Amino acid sequence: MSQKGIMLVDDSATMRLIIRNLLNSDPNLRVVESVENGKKAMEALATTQPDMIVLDLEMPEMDGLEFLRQARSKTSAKILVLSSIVPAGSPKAAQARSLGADAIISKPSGTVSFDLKQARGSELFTTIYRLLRLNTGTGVGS
Amino acid sequence: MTDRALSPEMQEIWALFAQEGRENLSGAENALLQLEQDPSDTEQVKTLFRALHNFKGSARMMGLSVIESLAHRAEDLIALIRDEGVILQAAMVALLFSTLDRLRSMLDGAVAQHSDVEPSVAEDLILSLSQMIGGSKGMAQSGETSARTDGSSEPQTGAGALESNHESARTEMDAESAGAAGADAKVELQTATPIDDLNAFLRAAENVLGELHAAMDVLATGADDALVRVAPLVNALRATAERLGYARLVAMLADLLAELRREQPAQDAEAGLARLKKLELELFEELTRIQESSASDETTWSDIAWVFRHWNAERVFADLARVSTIVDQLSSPLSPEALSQRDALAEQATTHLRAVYHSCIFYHLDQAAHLTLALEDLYARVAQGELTFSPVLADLTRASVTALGSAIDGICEGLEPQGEELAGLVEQTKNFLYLQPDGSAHQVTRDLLSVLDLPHTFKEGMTPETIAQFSRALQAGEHFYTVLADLERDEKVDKAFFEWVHSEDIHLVTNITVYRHSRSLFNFLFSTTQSREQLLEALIRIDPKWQYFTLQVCTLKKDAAPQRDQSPEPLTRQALPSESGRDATLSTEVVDQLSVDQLSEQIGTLVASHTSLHRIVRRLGDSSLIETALQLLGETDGNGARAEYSGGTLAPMDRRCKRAKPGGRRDDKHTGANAGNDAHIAPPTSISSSGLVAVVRARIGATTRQTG
Repeated sequence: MSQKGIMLVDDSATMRLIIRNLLNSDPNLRVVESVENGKKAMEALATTQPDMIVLDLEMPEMDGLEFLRQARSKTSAKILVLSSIVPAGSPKAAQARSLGADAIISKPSGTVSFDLKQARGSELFTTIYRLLRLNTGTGVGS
Repeated sequence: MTDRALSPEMQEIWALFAQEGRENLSGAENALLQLEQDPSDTEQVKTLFRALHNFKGSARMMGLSVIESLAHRAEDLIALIRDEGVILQAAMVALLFSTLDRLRSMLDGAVAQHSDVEPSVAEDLILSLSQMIGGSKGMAQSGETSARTDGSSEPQTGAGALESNHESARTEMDAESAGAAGADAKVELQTATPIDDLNAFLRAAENVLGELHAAMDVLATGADDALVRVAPLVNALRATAERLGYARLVAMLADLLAELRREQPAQDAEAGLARLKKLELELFEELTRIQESSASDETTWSDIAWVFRHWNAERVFADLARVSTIVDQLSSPLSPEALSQRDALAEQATTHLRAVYHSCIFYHLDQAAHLTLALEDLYARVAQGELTFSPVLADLTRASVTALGSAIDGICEGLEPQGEELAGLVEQTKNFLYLQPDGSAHQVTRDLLSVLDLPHTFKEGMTPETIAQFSRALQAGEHFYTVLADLERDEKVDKAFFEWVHSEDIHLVTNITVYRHSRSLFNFLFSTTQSREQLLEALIRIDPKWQYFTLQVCTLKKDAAPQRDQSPEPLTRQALPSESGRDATLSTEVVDQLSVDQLSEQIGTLVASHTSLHRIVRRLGDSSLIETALQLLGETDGNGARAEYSGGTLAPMDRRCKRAKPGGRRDDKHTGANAGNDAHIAPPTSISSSGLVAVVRARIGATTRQTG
């Protein structure tokens, strides 16, 4: 099975590094682009067509909601909002959904201390696998 | 942990976290410096928010919950300025500077140790930020009100509000503390919101309750780290409570902290939630007591009490469902291991019933509130081993749960509550102790029946009032008589007899019909100082042909009281009089005085216990809380819905209350009165347990769909 390409959009370098390492540990997934705001993500989409975009909401230059507005019609990639400020049912979550986010989940907590096998069962991986229609039995460590 | 123990990947992550964390804190500091010069600079507010947001997010990813908690509180404060039009004041700027300083040292400590810092490091600032947020929310609300008063259709928020309020912000700053700025502003903060100010303390407590409540909701969905960030808040509140001398509250908060920090296996999650719920309730009630006992007339707690009860009201159907489940669990045959959990289950029932009680107050359902209190008392007795759980209690509880569900459902739909049904259940619940085949109440009843030579089945008709009446008559040395009266056939006799039996010299104890097998023994029991001859004379005047009456003296037995654990075999009675009635053998013996004294003592204890139960129930009526509820309801719209809450997060009641499915009504109820039996206290209404669960589930489903 070919790897699924993922673009990370988050203004926190720490967050990008952690998520990148986490996702790259799965042989089915590969982070193909990692940028710090929506504007740079828009530019990257001109040359890269990822299977999925993992998107933060709170960013400078162009935030996640504005990125959704501008990019949703221009890419077929699944868009997963990964943010700590969008509890289920909140107005912002509703807004993100109406703008075309495929799923919204909270940023995982204490991720760096997680065993990767454990992390694989986390909401992040479950959601990515579901959106990309990957078989959960195909990953490393499963 | 040292670098040697870390993988290269982790070393890279920690290094990046440290570097980016410092950059974020510096960015936040620069923004704050700009805002100190120009509080209206909304771009700087956004920058400040984003920097702290990123810092918090990274700390969360690293599992540094203490750092995350402090950053989160600071972020919450800035969010009020960014999103809710709260005015940025010098005191806030000073507090945020202090927070940034602290976060920097905490970051250094965490990076050096590769682990989180001690919660105590952040407690004081978390508390100060919480107080500031609490106070600012009120300010946002009043700002909103004035905006509306000014004629604008929409409340001002965000940048517009910040700019328009800029002048007044300056004015407030000047008024509060002339020249206070920068480092000096910290002093201003401490005097503006002194820690021992009750309102400030209550607001901080409200924040803790709010965080705890939200965390419990998250925990209920299976997230096991939901409680981590609450602990520092609780700890901070405990420190303040300790300084203010609220010893009981301090102990409760210590219990709460222990619970929050308890390592809990996943299978115990439900029990853990139940314990937290209990602690949450106790905490709220204790804070209410603190507020009520304070000399201050203008505390903000009434509003907080409303919010708390609103929370309970939101999940009242889940609470009722849980009570129902507990009853099912207690009713099913238990293994020896499960038997040991009975007390814990009963204890859980008391917690859920107490939560329902607060919901009833919220919905202004007085009778329902009475009922939950009385039921809670019974389950507390079960939990303490004072009362054995029985099928009758199960039926009574199920009937009550159904009635409570219907009443709440009804009020949500704008219907008048069915007070009679609830009042009936209250009465049954209050009298419950007197009808159960265990406990002291039953024994006293049994002794009374033995002494008075009354049939054992008469215990079904004994109420607290009946027992009290017996007690009084025994003390007064009156004689007890029974009359079997056939009053259906002659209206004149009927009328005359009723006048007589209610006359001054006759003290009617009860007029229930008592049977033995299929034969009626008597239907009037009374006490009087009159002799048997005087009574016969009076009755013959009413019924000269002696067609309708049978009179008998209740013999006080010398050796009857107190008798323990006798078989329920009815005591033998002499043949009743023939038609003439003249040959009735009427023997009045002198009762053993010691036995009566002992019995009177027992009755006294029992009546005191009953009075105590009544007092608990009456507390509702006496409580100023009900006045508060009434007052608050007075501020509502026609549906009893409060239009909004200052926090802006609460939906009006009419939106919360969705129509229950028709199946939720008590269609399947039936009364359980037994013809031919002498049980004249109506048994609890029977219901289908599965039907109830369906109702409650339907309601929970409706709520979930609505709020999800």
